[in-house]
Amino acid sequence: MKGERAHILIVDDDQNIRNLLRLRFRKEVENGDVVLTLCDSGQDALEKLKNSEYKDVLVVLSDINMPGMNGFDVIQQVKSEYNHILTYLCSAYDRNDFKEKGYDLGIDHFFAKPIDINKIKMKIQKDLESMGVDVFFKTA
Amino acid sequence: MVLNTLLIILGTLQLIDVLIMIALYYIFNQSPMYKYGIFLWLGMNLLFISDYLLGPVSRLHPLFSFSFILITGFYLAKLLASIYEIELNFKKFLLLDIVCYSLAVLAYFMGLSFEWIAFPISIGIVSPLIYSIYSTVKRRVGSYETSAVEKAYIMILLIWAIHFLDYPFLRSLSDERVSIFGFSLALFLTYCSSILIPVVINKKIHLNFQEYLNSKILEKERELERSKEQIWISEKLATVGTMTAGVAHEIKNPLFVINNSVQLVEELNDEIMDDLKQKGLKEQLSSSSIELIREVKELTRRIQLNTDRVNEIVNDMLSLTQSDGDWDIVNMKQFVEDVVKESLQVAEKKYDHPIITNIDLRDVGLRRIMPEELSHVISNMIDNAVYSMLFKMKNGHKDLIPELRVELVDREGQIALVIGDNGEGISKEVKEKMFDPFFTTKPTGEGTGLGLSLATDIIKRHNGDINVDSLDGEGTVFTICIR
Repeated sequence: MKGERAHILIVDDDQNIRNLLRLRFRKEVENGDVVLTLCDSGQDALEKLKNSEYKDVLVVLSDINMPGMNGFDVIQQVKSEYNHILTYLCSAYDRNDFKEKGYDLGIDHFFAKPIDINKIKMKIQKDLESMGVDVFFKTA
Repeated sequence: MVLNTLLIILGTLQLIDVLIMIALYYIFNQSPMYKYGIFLWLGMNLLFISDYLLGPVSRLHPLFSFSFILITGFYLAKLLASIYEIELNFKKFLLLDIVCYSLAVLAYFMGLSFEWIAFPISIGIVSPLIYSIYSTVKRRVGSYETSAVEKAYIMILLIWAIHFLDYPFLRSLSDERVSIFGFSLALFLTYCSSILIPVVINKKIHLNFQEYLNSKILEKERELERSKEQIWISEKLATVGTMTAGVAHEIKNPLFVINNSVQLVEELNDEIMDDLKQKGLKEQLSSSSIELIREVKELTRRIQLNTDRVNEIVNDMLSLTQSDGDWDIVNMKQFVEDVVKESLQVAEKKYDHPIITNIDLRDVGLRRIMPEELSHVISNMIDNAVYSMLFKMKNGHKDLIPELRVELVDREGQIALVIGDNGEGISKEVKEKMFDPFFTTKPTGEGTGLGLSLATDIIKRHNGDINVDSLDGEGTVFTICIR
């Protein structure tokens, strides 16, 4: 499925991080490899996913510590309703219990902040490839 | 008649003394001093019984009573020695006794009179006693003040000892009045001793017990002090722990943003430059602008290095306060070899100096360890060692050849990993604090002060300990022992 666009949905309450990710995926978005949706809360993300516009979302990357709905809840909901979506957690809490809980929920990887975003991109690209979705991510 | 009565009274008194001593021996937890008392009175009693049964003045008598008096003299000296903590060479005295006894036997066969037979025997018996009294007085009665009772006790013993000497002469006198005087004296002395000996022994036991209690109290106090310190440290660590766990998240989020933003800045910078180049505008930039662009690159690199450092510190602080690590069974020799090799490579690159190594790793079998944590400890120690040696070189020891020694041996089932250097060593003041969290001698930016405290924590979790052996200015040897 070469040339397919990968729709990535990112959930993070931190404006800085959303902005950073937007810039990081700028090239891919410009090239049309990636469609990026940024959400500032779990509720926002789940609502969007219900919308037919977001039916093609393949990847959900979520922060854990967020006001209201936390990352685990988001992943649980996503996994129960859209099992085909690749899910990732990204947190500054590099704790074994967090990792275990994440993997128990079925996430594909746990990223511990501060991680180089290139590494996140590389991992997502690899996982997409094994799903049969070939996208080209620019990584430094 | 009178003499016999005196003998019977004396014998009875001694028998009672034996029984009292036996009773006291069991009351006072089988104190050896009362055991000596039992033998002392037993010897005396046997002597007087034999004296009564055999009748007075026989040339054989002193030879026969020798063994009884020997027991008494020996145990009295032993008692004195143990009360006043004097050293007595009993072998020497035994030898003297044998010589004296041989002289007495010689006198007997030469047909000499009773006095000549008895005298050398008395000398042999009394000499250890006199010696111990002499030593006691010379030492001003042991380590505590002499009380009136003890002065009296020593006086009585002295007279008693002299009485042992005059005994053969008094015994052989035909004038019964003098004999009666002698036995009255013996009775008096025996009576005094039977009262004084337990008093003095008890005082000694009491003092010993007090000393024991005092040492116990001191020990407990020290223990309390130590555990207070331990509590203080663990409270400090707990506070640091809660703080760190809370703060870590707050630090790591902005770190994530900074680190990646800086990388972006660099990339965007390159992009702009490429754009300029494509449009043929790059050549129009002044050399100072190009220099500035290079500066920007250098700055972004430095920001990245420093954010990495901040992350490292936060991670160190976190691992100091968390106790979850992955356990694995590994071949220790292979594990240490790999870690040492890697740490050395890192250290040589970091400090840009070759290090001579003396590595001796024995096969110590498999062990269940936390590989990640333990390798952290080892590389930290190697880094410290290299740092210390190069620091010494920089500070006036230019011709020092830095040599790192690593040994892995099995010490009676314990694995000992020795990491030694010939660096600057550790002073006494530093040694006291070196395992405290946040204590460092390195300049700001070069050490967090968490390495060794983290190491102690990790080794403790391996049920082991770390020992430091260091001579200020000569070098340091760390030994990690794992059971």
